[in-house]
Amino acid sequence: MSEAAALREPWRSLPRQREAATLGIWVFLASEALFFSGAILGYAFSRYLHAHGFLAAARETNVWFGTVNTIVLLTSSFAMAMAAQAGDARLRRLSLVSLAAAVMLGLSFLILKGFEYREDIEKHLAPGAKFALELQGAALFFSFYWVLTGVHAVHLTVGVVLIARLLLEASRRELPLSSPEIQVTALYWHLVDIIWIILYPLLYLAGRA
Amino acid sequence: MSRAPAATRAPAAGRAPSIWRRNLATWVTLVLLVLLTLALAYLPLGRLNLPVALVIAAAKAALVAVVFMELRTGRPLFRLVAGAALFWIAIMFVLAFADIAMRAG
Amino acid sequence: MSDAVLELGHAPLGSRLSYLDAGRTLWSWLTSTDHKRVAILYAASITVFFFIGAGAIAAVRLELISPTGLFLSDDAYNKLFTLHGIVMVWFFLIPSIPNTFGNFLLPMMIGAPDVAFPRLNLFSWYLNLAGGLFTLYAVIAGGVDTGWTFYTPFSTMFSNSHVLAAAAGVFIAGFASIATGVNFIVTTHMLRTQGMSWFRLPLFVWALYATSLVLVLATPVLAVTLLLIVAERWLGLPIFDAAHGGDPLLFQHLFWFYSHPAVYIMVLPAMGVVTEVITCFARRRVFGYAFMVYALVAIAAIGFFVWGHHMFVAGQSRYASIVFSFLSFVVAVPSAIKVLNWTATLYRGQITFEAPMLYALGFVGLFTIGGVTGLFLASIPIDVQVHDTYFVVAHFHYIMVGGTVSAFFAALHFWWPKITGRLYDEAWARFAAILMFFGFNFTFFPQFVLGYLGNPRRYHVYPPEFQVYHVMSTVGASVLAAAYLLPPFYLLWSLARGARAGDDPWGATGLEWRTSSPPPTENFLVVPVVTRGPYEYHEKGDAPAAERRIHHRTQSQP
Repeated sequence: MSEAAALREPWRSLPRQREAATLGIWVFLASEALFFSGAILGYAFSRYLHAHGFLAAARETNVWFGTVNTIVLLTSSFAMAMAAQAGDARLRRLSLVSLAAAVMLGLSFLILKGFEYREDIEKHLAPGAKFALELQGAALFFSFYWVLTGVHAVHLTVGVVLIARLLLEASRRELPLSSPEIQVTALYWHLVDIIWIILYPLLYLAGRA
Repeated sequence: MSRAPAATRAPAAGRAPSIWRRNLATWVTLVLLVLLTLALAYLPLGRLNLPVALVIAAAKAALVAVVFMELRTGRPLFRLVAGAALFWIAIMFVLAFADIAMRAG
Repeated sequence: MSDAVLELGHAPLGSRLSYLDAGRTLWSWLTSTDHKRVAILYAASITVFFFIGAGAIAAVRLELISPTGLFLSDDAYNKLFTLHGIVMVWFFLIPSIPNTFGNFLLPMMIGAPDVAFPRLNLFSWYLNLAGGLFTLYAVIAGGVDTGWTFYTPFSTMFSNSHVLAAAAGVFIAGFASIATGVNFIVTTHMLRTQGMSWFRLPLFVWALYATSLVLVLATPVLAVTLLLIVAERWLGLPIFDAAHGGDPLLFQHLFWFYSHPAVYIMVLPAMGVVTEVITCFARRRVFGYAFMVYALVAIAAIGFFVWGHHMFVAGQSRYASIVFSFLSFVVAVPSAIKVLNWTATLYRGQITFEAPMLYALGFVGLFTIGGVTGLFLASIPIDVQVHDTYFVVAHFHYIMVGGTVSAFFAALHFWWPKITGRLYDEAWARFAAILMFFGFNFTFFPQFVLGYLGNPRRYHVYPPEFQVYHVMSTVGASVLAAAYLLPPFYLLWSLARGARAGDDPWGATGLEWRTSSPPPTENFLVVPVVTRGPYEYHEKGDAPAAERRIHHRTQSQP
């Protein structure tokens, strides 16, 4: 697909449009960072006020699921960085393979998360009538666990869909490798990774010592 | 602008190795940091466990931002946006904790 | 002559279609990504929401004629003031100036053909509409009674009203805000025409930029706060519940972290409008352009550091309260600088009192009263006395209504000729402006007294000795309502019968006046090139000559 066809109003040159798209996504990522930070502030308040029960609950998360998923998402982020940078350098095959890897790894994360959630529910770690822990602050931990991982998973799913779409269109040559969309999606995906990098110690490594 | 935007740079045949090099090296470092933070989590450091874990997480996030997200080579404006986000998050935490950490009784 | 760049293949000025002619079907309006049409879509929706919010409070003010109420149940009363707050804040005030005048004018003022992401712009209107529909559903299904502030634990655990639908509506509309902020920031950075450097930008553009910073950084925190309410109320996840250890103040910290900067979203664009109008109708350059810029950015930034002044009596630590109080005094300084600079701009001006100028001058006076009473509230001892009373209600209405709504009407009249190509009837417009000023003060000044004397806000009933003030306020509100109903009539009348406006009926500076009224779809037939700064109504250092009316030097000739 020609580069000219990827040009949109009101832009007159694709590099300028691409720069604008990159700035736009960075600004949006800043807002996403503030979004998650609000929830993490709630986590921080609760942990500060009820450390004992909060950390006792934190020990109940499955550190292996968490760690494996962290590495999976880091690798997916690596793949996406390769896809975007290879695309920039017009290395078509490398870019497509990397996009495919990023999608597969993203899906793996979701599948593992699904298994983890099932185990959490079986262990009665969802706050409600049959909640397993009675210490003050324990239910708070799991409220934040479910909200933070759930909202993160939603963001991740959106990312997987976007990357899959890129892979499809680029492989059919409907999308040029220089398109701003690859760069924009990559930056979004890296933020999803960064959020998880922050959540990992907060949700999986707390209270272990 | 100090550097031509990516899309106008002529694609160079030998660029694949340099792309692999920096991203792979970053990935290896990231995985090592995950293993490090995992190990340190089980070490009884008392009140230091949380700060240590957060510092390692910050280092990982910085690596992703600087290398994968090309913050180092991109426009300074992008660094400003990222910095602004961090600054405002810091404000939120500092002022909110000025309340919760200083309540009487 | 400037070195203007000619667009190839375009016909000379006058024979091109305006943006209004490019597609006359409803479908063309609903699918247009032209920023000017999106602006008009927003104008239509905010007008509808304005009258819904106004209708709700009309019922409340009628009810408050009697100390014991007249025709509303307690429940209905709570739902009506909640409706008023939610609709007015999120579906009228926040989008009012940025999404109508900002959308229409920002690209034009910088010499661009559109915003950076036109499709995102149109999508943001649909998001706003979807949010509004969710909220209206909440109303029709029976209403919400938590107040626009959604305080927990009432909203999460005890209210038997449609909190989830209302929270969802505001959540969705929040994304329209964020999209708008992103669009405006990128547009300002990337689409300024040749010669339009940052310090040549009109102050309305700077105001929109500062507003966009707040939109982008504050709104997501509101979104996550509403999400946490939904998680607790709908999914039963304890977050704010004190029985499980939740901190009662956590909600308030999160909510006000957004909602205080939100008031700057509402007032910064208004300040931008005021500068545009005052410079034009005083025929003066703005006094202290650079400080006006710094003040806008300072207000946007420092506005994020003061939210705890809403929580002085909520149980917040004294230490934090003192910090927030101090910072709240600091944030008043850049606002005061702006008021000083507007006043100084008038000095040695050739002042005329067309409707936009009446509204703009009204803004300066009423915003000052609102701002000074804000300082009273920033002082902890005073706030302890008047928190949650009508004093606070009066304070923020002086800013939101006396300030922002006045500026909205200033903008509406100032740019009406540009947007529609028609001139409105000046006599009716001046009458409406003056009526509005008096109606406004009769409505809200008594409320300062009420609050000081101890009348709490949001109360359905009140002690009989306060009745005289409530009646004054209701009478004032009736006058204000009449004043609001006038502009729709004479403005719509002007569409059919008004004189046609030329490119520049006011003799104003600014690139938007260098093209036809109404403008063509691509805004300019010839890409403008800027060689001068803004507001060049006279030579630097000159006073205007008393006898003759100064016409400015144009910024670029086609």
